Amino acid sequence: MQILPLLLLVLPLIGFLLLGTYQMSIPKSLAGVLASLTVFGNLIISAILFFALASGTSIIKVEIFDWIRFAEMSIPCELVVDRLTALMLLIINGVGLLIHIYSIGYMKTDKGATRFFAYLNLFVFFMHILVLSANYLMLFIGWEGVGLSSYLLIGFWYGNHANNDAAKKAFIINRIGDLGLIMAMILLYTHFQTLNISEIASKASMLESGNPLVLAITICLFIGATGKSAQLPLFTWLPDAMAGPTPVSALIHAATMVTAGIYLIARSSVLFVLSPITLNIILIVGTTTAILAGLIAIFQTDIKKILAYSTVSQLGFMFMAVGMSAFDGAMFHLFTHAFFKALLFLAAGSVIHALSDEQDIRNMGGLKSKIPVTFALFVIGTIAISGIPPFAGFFSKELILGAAFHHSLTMGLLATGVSLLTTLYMFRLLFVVFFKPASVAVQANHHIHESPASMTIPMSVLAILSVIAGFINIPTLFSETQLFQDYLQPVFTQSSQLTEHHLLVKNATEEWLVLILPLVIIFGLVLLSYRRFVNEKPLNTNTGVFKIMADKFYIDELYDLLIVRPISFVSTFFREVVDQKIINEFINGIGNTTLVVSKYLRLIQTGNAGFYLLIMVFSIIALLFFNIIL
Amino acid sequence: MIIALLILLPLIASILLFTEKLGKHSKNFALAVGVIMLGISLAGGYAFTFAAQKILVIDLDLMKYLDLNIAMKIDALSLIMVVLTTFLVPIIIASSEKWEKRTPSFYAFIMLMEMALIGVFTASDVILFYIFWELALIPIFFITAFWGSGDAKKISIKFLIYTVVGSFAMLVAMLYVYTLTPDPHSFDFETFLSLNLPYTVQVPVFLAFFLAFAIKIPLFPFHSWQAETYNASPVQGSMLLAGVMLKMGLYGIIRFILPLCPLVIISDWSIIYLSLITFGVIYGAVIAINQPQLKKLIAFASLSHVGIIALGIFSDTAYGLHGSIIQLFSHGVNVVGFFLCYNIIKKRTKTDVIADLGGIASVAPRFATVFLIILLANISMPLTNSFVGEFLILLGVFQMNVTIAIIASLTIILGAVYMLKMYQQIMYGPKTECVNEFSDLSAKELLLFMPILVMIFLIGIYPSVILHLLDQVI
Repeated sequence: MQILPLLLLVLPLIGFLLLGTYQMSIPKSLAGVLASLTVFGNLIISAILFFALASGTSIIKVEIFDWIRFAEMSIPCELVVDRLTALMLLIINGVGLLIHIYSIGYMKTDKGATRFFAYLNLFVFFMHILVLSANYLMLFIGWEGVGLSSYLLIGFWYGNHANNDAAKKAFIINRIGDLGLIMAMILLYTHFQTLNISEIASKASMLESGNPLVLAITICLFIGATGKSAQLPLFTWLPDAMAGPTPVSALIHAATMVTAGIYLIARSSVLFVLSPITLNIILIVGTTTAILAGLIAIFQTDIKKILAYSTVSQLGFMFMAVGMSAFDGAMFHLFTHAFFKALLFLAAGSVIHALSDEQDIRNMGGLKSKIPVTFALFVIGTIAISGIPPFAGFFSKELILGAAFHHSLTMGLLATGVSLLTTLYMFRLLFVVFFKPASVAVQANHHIHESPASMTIPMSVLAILSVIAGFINIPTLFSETQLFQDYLQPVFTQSSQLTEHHLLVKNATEEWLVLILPLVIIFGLVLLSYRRFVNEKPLNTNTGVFKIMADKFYIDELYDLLIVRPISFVSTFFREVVDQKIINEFINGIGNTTLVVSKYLRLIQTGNAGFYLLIMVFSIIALLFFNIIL
Repeated sequence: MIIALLILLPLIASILLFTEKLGKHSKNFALAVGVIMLGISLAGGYAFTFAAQKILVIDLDLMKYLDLNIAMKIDALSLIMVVLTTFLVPIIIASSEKWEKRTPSFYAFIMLMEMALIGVFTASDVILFYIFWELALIPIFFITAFWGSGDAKKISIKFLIYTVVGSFAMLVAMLYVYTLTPDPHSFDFETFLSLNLPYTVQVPVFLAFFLAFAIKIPLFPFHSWQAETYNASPVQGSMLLAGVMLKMGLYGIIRFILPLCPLVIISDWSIIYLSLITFGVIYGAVIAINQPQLKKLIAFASLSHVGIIALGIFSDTAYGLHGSIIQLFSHGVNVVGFFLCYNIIKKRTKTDVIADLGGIASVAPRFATVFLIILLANISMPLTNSFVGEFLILLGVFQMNVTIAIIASLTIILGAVYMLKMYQQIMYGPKTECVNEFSDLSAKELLLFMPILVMIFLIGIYPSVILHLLDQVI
């Protein structure tokens, strides 16, 4: 058992090193297979760990070596697997494997495919460190590492500076979040003398709720989470990150890496429940992000950007759950979301592939009959994400909606609103791409083809999961046992003991309300968008408020004006004025003054003995004079 | 024995090279001596680790004949600095090309420099320290003035005068403290450090030492010689300056200011110099963002990095100090790595104007990877050598002053901004005219990078290499 977590790290690392070092000599076809094999190995190990933990073993700990040790400081390199980790492992490797296989088909014609798979394996390696580490500092290795892999993959096609700009933006904005995480670690270490996650949890549970220290720590942790999980005010990198190859968007920017923020908070749940103020801030940030991103998504025309904003919105939805201390709800939605969002991205990739790299939905339409398999899969994804029973999204959303209505009626309605926005932008997308009469571009394109089996098979597996994954946690109304919640229950025991409990009593009317109300509206919305979007009319020319949404609330422009330009200005100002003109001139000035002074002093040396005598006499008189006065 | 070898070997090598008898074998000879030196210092490290006293000493008592006491010591801190020096010098020598004029003398000066640097790091007598400190200036002055480019002569004279002014202040302070030692007066470190100077004495002593070290490191606002000198100096000179020589100032703070002026460091006035340093940290990073020239960018990035190290030392906490010592070592390795990359680019394209470059990654993937790793080490990516050091420094600084820690940590973001901006412009995007002929790293060049890369990951993954050494000292 002890060796298994270590293997999880070793396999993808070997894959990365092999593919990276022999980039030139390993054939592309082999590279994909090799990379997939490492993830396949990891999937098997994850499954073993998952079931081992389900049947008794409480946690598995592996200490590898002393990373930092001096004086009283000791931060070991230590791995730990508990049920939360096991769940994340299944998601990472399950979805990861399917996307690796898909990529073999998708990247077939790209000459950098080997490099691509090397980066993918690097990502998988760091993602494992992130979820396996027993202390925050190690978690941070994974945290920055996935950021690096993301940077490399977004800018994968580096010939074009637009991609590089997107990659750079992602890295820098993530670093802002990372700074929050570093500050959190410094605070944690200063006050608890350890960075071990479970030790901190038990030490912190002694503190009283609302303690300012915990407030500061949790705020810093949350800043970290907003960077990685693309929440306000740091979400702007994620839509741009779509510049990377589509499998990357599916794996990193939808299913795994961007959920790291949720994972971090769930991991630190004890700290968070001790700080009600932070929870409220998370609730507000999550809700605002979810609504804002949902609204923006409705007006976008790039198929991947719509999905990206959808991801931002769904992550906001998970943060809402976290903000209401419904950690298991957030994790459940993270779980189901990984399947259907990955499916949607891959299906979108299949569309883009079929249309030879077309991403603008205004140039699509009528694809229903041209690529039927992709179409069917896309429909499944859309239904799942919209929360229509019995698909996966319904169950996870139901869990969060339940918590929201329980929290307050306002939150309940807001959460329902967010969920409905999903329906709107997803069905718009579905109708415009597949049902709307074919656009001129599609009519002119005679090469539209269905994707190969290596792409459709992984998508089909994801589709099946998107259909059935929800059944592991059936609402209390219909079933006595909730497999998912029960599995994670030990992880959150400590934190749920600390909250005054509200989730226990549930009344049936409320449950039915949560169930029926959204469904009715969803039905209405689907009809509405069908009538609005499936016709000859060209897509939106937005005016007024709609234009603001289509232009993404001008947030990028605002940041550019308030932060990017001023810093750039100051940089040039410092260099040209402060450094060159002031400091350097001052220093040179001292030197020049010496030169000038010496130039005149030199004149005194005339070589004329009479002149020297004269000076001497005057000096003696002056000295005597001073002596008398003083 | 080991110390004597470390001092005498480069001195002899240097004299031999100055005779210019070795002709075209000069480089290989210097390189061989450099490697042997590394071997000796590692042997010293080995002896040190297993020595009971955790200290290596030579004490040539020439008092009777020359009224002079040559005392040198290697403790953990000295050892780390000596290993850094002997580790970098062979790389620096190997990276050089044949010069048009006086090639053997060039290596002779490098050897002389190595000897002086080792002298500075091992001296345990204040006057000896001072002699080596000034001696180190001479070779770098000639290297810059004679083999430099552009306005090299004028710039090197400015550099010389500037640093000598600082050193002079230090000399005065040393002599002053000497008069305060109990009879019979002594220049020995032990005597100096066991003095408990009153606060009113500590202040002027602090100011004098601080001026000398701040110019050398350099700290804001005493940095104006830095970018100019790097720019004018041949790349090997820049490597010697940035990689090792600047560490002399930081080393000096640990050796002299911390033990001699503890009251100043904990006084409320410390906020004055701490703010100056912190401002310099941000200042350097911000200037680097729009810096059009690669070599100057390295200079300003370096200004920012060493500022952080100084903050860590002045935090006067175990974390800050441990972190700073890791960083002393790591920064030397990283900045030399960075200059090696610069050298590759400059040699092949004949330019270091960032805007003229572009698309190198597409023709030189191996170089792109190496450069990226070195760049990541420079922005303290976890698993590279500077991460643990920087984290410990921030932890230490935080415990001293929260505001300063937060401001200083902004370099984590700013560092990513200027580095990635530069990297993207140079390596990615469409190829520009001057990179058309760019060839990827040859096996020989790759070999040159290897020690740097190994060190980056070794310290990053297993920082205990350094931390264990320090165990008994701090």
